[in-house]
Amino acid sequence: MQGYLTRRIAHSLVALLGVTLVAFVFVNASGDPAALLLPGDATPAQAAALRRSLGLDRPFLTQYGLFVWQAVHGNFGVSFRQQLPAAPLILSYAPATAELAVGASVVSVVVAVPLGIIAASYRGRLYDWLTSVFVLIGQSAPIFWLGLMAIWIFSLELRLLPPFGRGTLAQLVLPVMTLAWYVSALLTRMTRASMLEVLDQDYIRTARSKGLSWLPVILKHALRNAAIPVLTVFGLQFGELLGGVVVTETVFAWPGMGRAIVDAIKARDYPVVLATIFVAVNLLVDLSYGLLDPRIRYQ
Amino acid sequence: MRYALQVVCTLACVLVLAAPGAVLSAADTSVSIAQGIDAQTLDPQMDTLGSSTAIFSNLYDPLAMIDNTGKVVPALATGWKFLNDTTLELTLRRGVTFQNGEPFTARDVVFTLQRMMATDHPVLTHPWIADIVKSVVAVDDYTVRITTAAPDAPLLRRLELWFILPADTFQKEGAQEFGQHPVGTGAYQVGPWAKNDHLTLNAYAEYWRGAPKISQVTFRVIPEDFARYVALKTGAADIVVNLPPERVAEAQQDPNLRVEAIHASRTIFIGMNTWNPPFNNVKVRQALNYAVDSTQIVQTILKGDGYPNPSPVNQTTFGYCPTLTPYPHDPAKARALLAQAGYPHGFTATLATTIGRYLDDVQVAQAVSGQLETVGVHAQVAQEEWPVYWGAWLSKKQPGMYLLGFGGAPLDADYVMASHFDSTRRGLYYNSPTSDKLIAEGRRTTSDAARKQIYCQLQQYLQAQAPWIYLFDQQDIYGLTKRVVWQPRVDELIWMYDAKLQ
Repeated sequence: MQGYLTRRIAHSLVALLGVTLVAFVFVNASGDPAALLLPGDATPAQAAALRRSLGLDRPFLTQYGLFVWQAVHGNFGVSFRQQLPAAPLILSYAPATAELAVGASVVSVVVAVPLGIIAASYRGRLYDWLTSVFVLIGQSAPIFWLGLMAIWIFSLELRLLPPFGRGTLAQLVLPVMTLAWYVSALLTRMTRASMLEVLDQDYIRTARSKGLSWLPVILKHALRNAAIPVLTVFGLQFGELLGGVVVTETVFAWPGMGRAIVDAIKARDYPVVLATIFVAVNLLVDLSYGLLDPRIRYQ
Repeated sequence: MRYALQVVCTLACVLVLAAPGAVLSAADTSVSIAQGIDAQTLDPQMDTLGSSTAIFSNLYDPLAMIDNTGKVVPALATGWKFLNDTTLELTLRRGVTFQNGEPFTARDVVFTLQRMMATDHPVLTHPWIADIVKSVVAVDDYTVRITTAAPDAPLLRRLELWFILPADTFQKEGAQEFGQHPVGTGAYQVGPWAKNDHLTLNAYAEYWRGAPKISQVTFRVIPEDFARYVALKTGAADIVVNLPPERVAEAQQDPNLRVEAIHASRTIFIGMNTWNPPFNNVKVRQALNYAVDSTQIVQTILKGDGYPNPSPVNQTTFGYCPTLTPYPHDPAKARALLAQAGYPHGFTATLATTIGRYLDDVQVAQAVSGQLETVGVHAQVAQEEWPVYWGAWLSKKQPGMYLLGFGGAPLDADYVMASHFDSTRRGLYYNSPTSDKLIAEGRRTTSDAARKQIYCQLQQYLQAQAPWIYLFDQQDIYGLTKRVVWQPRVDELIWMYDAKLQ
């Protein structure tokens, strides 16, 4: 594991240089942060003065070099908008996102695995069809639409759950369910396919012919073998899950990293954008891939 | 269907709901306000968003405020007089304390203004103050003299924009720390702030106007329009900003809700780059004004929630000329003018628009483009994301027509004139010696009546010159629960000292 970590981090650093350079180029080319920070009555001279004070008037490579140098020393600069050090700022949103991502992961496994097993066991019958509908909606409906429907039904019509915010368990339900639906759709399909494959194997028939009843065969013999590809997909899904987080956080006013980073991009708040790429996305996602996806770990 | 859902959900959610306390009902003495975006910092000089200023007005006080009738009323200053054309002497209120007990004196005013005027570490708000104000001096603890570089008639109205900071606390804590845990003289002091979720403000019992009637105000951040509406419907929010027009009728039918609309101080217009052909020809610019029917746009696109305005000056703003007659909708006249200008078959040009910055901005641009088409002008609508759009605008690179909004405090005609037509300040896309002269005259004339006359002359001139296609003033729509009594303000502040519970 230690060797893996070292290799992984070295690998990450190279990737980071590339990714931040690309991000730097794009952010630079797509709008002037100084102009955006100033109010609608600012003059070009004031924009120039602000650019100078933020160091944005320096040549591009100087700016990038300075950014890398400071980043190596753990300093990602100060958010233009929020006037706070960028890395701690973005990390302060991490717990909220982790809550959502972990919650959705747990729920999606809890929902998807039994659904997949049932669908596989009743192949071609009503349960299988119902599961297909569940999967179809989860995979094809955009998250924001699912989220708005959830708000409409559970918050507006039924008045059961709050439509926004973070703090109580009740507030976690709708965003987690919305995000979990999206993730569990693929997991359900994988579980079903994987189970179907295993259920055709000789050892299952043997187990059944030994006289074991249905449930122990499914849980002990079939699921253990079917679980490996499902786990792999689950690991790979984690990146997609983070993509879904951005939308979910916006729809449900969830104060997480996804929304913070989108706001930072809109405002061209580079320190925050780059700190996010550096700290959060790259390192955390890479490491969690390793933890969740055995194929990557042992390569 | 509803019954079935209810059964399923009750089963599914019973565990979850049993655990924490009820979330859907707000506490009795507190009021919750939902806006789309959080304050970026609570340092009022480092956050230029209108939604943040709305919050700041509860934490801090300015020297004077502008009421909904446009009158300047005292706040931290009890009175003022001009000693000469360029010197304003302010008498400050005695016995005011900041929320940490620090007494408010002239030093705080001087400190606040000097920080805004510093050029080495520029603050973000009030970009012109260093050009306008020459010096700020404390005569004694309760008297301040502001000297301007030249006579500045809008100076009194500018006072509303300057939230006074506590000099000692600010310097002791530093800007970064202060921005997270500020103290002001305002009616509310800052409580817990969960960023991007909610900011709680608690009543300041020692407030100089008297303790506020509402003990706690929570500003919630709900970016999605629909979720904000649901928050209002379910009572989780008492005031929501920018109620989507399609929800207004529904909200009005709800016995628990109230809809408040107010003529906003923001004006939407189509500007033209008058340095580039064909827009350098005044006949072309006039023709486009004849071709566009702003009343129809307000009726069809905005469903009536706007006010056609033939002037660059917002109708709520000091100096608006009420006798101005709008361009009639006259496509024949437009075609004739285009022919005289040498474009009998019209021309092709770009019409840049922001995406979603202003209510229905893209649709308005498309409607204008459609109306221009009827006189042979092909306006190609270019939708641009705000950062790109605004960067180009500020560097004078919008080549043809552009849709933009302008407004807000200080609610003085000089503000729009200086920002759009004054060669000495920011007349980026149009300026002329005549308008420069009138703008300068309006700024240095201290008599309100005389100023109004000058601005009428200026607006008539600008109407004939037609540097813009004049469109409309916006309407701000708020949704409220009936338990809250509160009036929206023209200056877009959400000043909760004024509010009370039913």
